[in-house]
Amino acid sequence: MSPESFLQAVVNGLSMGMIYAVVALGLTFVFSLMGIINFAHAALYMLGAYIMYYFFARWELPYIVALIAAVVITGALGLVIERYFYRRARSVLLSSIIIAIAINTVMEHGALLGFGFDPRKVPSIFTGVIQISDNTFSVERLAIGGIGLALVLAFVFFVRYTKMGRAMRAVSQDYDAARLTGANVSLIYSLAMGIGCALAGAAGALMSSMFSVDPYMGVPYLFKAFVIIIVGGLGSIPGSIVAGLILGQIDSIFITWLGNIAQMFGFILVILILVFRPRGLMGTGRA
Amino acid sequence: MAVEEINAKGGITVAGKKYNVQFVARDDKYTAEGGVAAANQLVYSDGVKFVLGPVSSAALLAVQTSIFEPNKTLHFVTSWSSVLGPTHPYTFRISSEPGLIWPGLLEWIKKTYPNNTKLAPFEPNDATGKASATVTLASAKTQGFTIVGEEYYERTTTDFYPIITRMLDKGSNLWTSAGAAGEQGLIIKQAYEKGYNGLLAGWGSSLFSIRDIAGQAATEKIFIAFLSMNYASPNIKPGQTALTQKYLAKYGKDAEMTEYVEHAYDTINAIAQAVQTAGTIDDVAAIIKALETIQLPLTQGAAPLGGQQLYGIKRAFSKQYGVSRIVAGKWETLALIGPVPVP
Repeated sequence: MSPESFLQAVVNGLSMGMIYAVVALGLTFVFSLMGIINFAHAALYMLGAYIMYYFFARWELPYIVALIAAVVITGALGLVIERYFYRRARSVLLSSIIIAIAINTVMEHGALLGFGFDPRKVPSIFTGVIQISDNTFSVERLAIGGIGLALVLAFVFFVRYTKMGRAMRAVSQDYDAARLTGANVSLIYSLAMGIGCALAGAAGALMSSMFSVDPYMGVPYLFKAFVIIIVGGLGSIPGSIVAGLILGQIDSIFITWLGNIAQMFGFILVILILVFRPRGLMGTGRA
Repeated sequence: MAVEEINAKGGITVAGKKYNVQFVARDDKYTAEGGVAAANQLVYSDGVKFVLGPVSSAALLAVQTSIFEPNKTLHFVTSWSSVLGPTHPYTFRISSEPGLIWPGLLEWIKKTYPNNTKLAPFEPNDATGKASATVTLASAKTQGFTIVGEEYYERTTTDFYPIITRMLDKGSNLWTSAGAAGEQGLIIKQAYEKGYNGLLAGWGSSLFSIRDIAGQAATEKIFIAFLSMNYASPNIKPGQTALTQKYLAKYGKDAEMTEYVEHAYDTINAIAQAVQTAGTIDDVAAIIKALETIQLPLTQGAAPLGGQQLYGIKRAFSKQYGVSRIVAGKWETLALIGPVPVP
């Protein structure tokens, strides 16, 4: 691998890693609070992309409006899913997993029926490349990686510095103590689910112009997200961010170096983590 | 449409008795698992005698010897050459001969784009991709192309940057691919973003779908589409023009006329004629013999089954295929390639 290729791989890995982190954050956030592994995350990612496609590409609304719509609609759907499905099965892990898989399957097949299988294209508002010496960088990837970073920072700010964020962390750390201090746990769960799903929708909307939109587009990213939350530590928000960036680099650098066979390195990392550090890089071990 | 036309004429006449043709569709989901489920339904529940498909090689390999052959179900496919041969007497290939696609296409590229000689297959890592790469590499070697590498990707890949970077490092300026439309669209888009100045010769039956994903500038600069027929092109055969007019009249002017429409239409008509010639709907050997001996009523022009030399058994419909590019926003079919009949 030439030095130019290595540099391009690193920059691409940062961009992809940031989006991986956004997807994984929503998943790990819901798990850390509610103990639910939200397999429907893949479908919400897909839905966010379709919302971007219809609002921006088809109805020609401004990009920012489409992005906000993706966040709001997937977030609202998350509230509904929590209220009418997960809340009833909260205490039984297996039931919640089956419900999550069922919701994901229904949404994907619904998308197939409603939108068809043909991949859809969302035009990019970030066009062109930046040429530095022999290195070529896509403006779109840099911009979307930057938006991903902004989303991650906004999320971290919310969780660490707002009253609701602190209440969520309190529930995550000690459910009973939080209830005794008057925290509205049902509201917190609903909001957590809404935020988690909104992050998936935002990631899907952002990625829609980089790639294409189809009913099953979320599945590979769900697997990436699972790798990230295991490596980072189940329920660990900083861990998900760090692991997202690590996986982005592994995917980008090793595939550039060794070819497609390097897809396995992410999973090798998972095996090593599970064997030698089961709580993940930054997990508490509580999960 | 073919079934309706046959039935409108009173159906198929077999030994003096008229039979209507019944059409049953099952979805193989373009997967091996889906192929097994669909084939089981068709053969054991629906009781079909002739199957059009499955389209994907993976699905065909899953059902060919396990379901179709034990039941002597004639199946008409578009998969790669390895599915044909004397050990698979019930398998027929209805589209352009894959063993001849790459030799013909590479010969055409060599004449048309003489500077694009550094070739590298860029394929999905499944049966379709491996078969395509094997034929491509064999053809490229005999025609004097320099092979600078070969790369494979997972079908679920969306970020091709790392593999494209590898291809660019190798200095390739001619990529070949039998990937799906969505994959090729993303490869073209991302290669364009990374400044690729060469060509990608890829399967382009959905050329506009590929363009919609890749963008017009990228597609016009990079993409050569094989198995890509613009049925509004002046370069196609009169029979194809007539079929296109019928198809659009029936399904609306916005319907997409593709090679699959032609293949399916031809297959139904070929089966009908073979059954009538054989004078039986149950004697599979007699129907096969009829298929091997009659001039098949193909849209491009009547032609016999071919493939004796290539496979040791006549099982290939003799079709030419189109090579197209998008030029100034228009889908131009530049040439029809392939020998008739297939040797």
